Amino acid sequence: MGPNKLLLAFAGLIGVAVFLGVYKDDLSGGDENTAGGGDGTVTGLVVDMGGGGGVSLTNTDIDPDADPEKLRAADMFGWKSYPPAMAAADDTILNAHAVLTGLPTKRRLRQQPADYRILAHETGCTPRPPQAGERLVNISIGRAERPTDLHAYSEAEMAEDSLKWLTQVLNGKNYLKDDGIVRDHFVPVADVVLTDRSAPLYLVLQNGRNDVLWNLHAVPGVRIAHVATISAGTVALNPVPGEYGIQMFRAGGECVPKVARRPMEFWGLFQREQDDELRAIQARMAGNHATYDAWFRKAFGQPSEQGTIGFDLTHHVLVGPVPENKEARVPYRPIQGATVLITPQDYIFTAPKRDRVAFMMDLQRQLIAEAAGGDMAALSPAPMERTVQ
Amino acid sequence: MMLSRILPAAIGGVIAIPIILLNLSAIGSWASFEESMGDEASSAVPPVLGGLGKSLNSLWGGHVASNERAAIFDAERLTKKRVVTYRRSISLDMVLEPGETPPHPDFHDLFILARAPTLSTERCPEMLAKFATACAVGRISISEGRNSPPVLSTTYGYLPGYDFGDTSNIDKAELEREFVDLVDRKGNERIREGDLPALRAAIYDLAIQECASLRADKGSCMITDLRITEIADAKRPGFYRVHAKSVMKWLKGPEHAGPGMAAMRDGSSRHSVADDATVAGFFTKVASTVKDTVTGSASASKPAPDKPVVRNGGNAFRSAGSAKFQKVDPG
Repeated sequence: MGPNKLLLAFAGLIGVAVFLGVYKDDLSGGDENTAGGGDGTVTGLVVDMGGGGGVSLTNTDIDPDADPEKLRAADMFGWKSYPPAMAAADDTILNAHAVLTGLPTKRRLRQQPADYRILAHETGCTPRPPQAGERLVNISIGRAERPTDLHAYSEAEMAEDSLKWLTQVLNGKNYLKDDGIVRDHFVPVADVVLTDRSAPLYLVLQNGRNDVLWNLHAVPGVRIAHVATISAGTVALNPVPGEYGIQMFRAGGECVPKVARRPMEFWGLFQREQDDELRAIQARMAGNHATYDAWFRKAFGQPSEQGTIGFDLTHHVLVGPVPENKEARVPYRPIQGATVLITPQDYIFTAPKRDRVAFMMDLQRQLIAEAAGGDMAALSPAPMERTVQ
Repeated sequence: MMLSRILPAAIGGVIAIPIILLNLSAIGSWASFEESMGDEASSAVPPVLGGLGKSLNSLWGGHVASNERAAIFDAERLTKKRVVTYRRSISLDMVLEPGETPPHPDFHDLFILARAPTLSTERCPEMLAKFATACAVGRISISEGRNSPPVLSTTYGYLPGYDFGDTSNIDKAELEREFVDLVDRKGNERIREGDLPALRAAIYDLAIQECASLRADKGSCMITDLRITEIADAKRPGFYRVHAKSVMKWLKGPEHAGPGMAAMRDGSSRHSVADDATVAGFFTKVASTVKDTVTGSASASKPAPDKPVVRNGGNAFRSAGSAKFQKVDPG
């Protein structure tokens, strides 16, 4: 090895040392994720550095002392909160570390359920009515975004993914990877922590956009009377043990309207410079809300905005009082290793990325071949030539 | 001397490597970087799609970008420097087989795109009949119209079947070009769908004629980008708006720098065809050519060949990579 190579190797070692110093916490495997507690033993969480397509979390994610008031900002359709923000009653915000212990905070952490059970959508239009003495817990978020390794694909989404990939191929884009045809469709997790022991709880879990995995936590003494989810997307649930009914309603059809919050003045939709397009969106959202509110009143006997908890972008929700001290905090209940309930979908995976991608590539290839008329060769027709001069 | 080389390399390495690693992490590419460095991921995903994108790109030949002249005037290799770009309105009906059940609406766009390459080959026989000795479908894209059907854009590579002149000065010459409007953009005329093939034939002839005129003046000429657009008129079903233009390029060398070249440099002859093919000229120029074509009296720089035979394999065409030729009845 010459002096040049020696010095470059030395430089490389320094670079690696700097990198490891900066990301030591990320690469350590996450000791807090192996903390035990609760009804699920929090062990063996995997820090998946190969997930790809995950969201970038801010540095506040690893700051248990972050000022919660600095963890949200008004966005187009409501509050956009940043980890470890936790939505609570009366539109208040907390630092989730004040409520939970063992909270997974690592960048790109993906928890992978061990298995899933299909829970079909309700065929009726009316949820079980709240009973006397039950307390209705009205949780409504726009979306969650923290990735998991629970993936759900509809054939429509697969067609869209194939279309995007084929568009790049046929447009001559270089350096395409074959596995780029398979995109992530993870079901993002939203944690719900129940500390309200005052009455049996009737949980109404609503999300306006995308898919969601509701990860329930309950302190001892909490009673769950019933759970109803309302969503236009795929919904999964990691339920806490107990005797209660679960109903999953598909929103957006003729039966149950799309979930729609009441438009508020602080939304970006109203704060931005107004034009006809924005005004049209405002009118449409107001109309959607009126429709949803009417259905909600009929279904649950109260306005859809009464006691609502949740931001437009939400990671954690608290229902009930904040633990009195650090020792009383609630152990995080992991998705990793759990068996979750999920609404029907064409393909559902609780598998490492490489297995999922390998499986889906084959399906996507078949889809494209069928679209092309049965033969992938049709995508690249042979040149033609003139043979008579 | 040695130290002056080593020191910057070492300093650069110290600075660059952590920055690269940090950035990989920050932009979310760490995973792919890690995969590319690891054995597990590389063997995890089989290349079931067979490098389709690479095979399509290989149709464009291997000319380096810096030698545009060689690419343009290489009559034996396809190149993206010498293309025909054809845009047309497209719908699901156009790609389905007769009697084929349409797919679910979620799959419409995918079906249209996946079948667009085969549909695009329909234009090759008419190009082979007029000005090309080989034709290959290259790039394809589909753009969505707001209130109109999607538009398919296909870029073809072709080998010239016309006389492109003297290229002996190619090493010393410079490239010059001219834009020619073959069908005036300002025209409001609508073309009946059944007349489109004849109009395209006329457009090909016109392009060849213009290039022949340039060749006579400049010594060489190649049609480097012939663009034809046929957009369905939403208000008049069965009628199309048609535009056509072309880029002609030639080699400017000392031996060919005659008076015509001087005129070209001052721009006086730019859009020379457009002058003839203004709104009124659309029908006087193109429609008359349509008539000539239909009656078989169209003149081109090189006589149109007999009905072309597209054969499978082929010895004459040697440089389309490893692609196999297909047998197509040009009709």
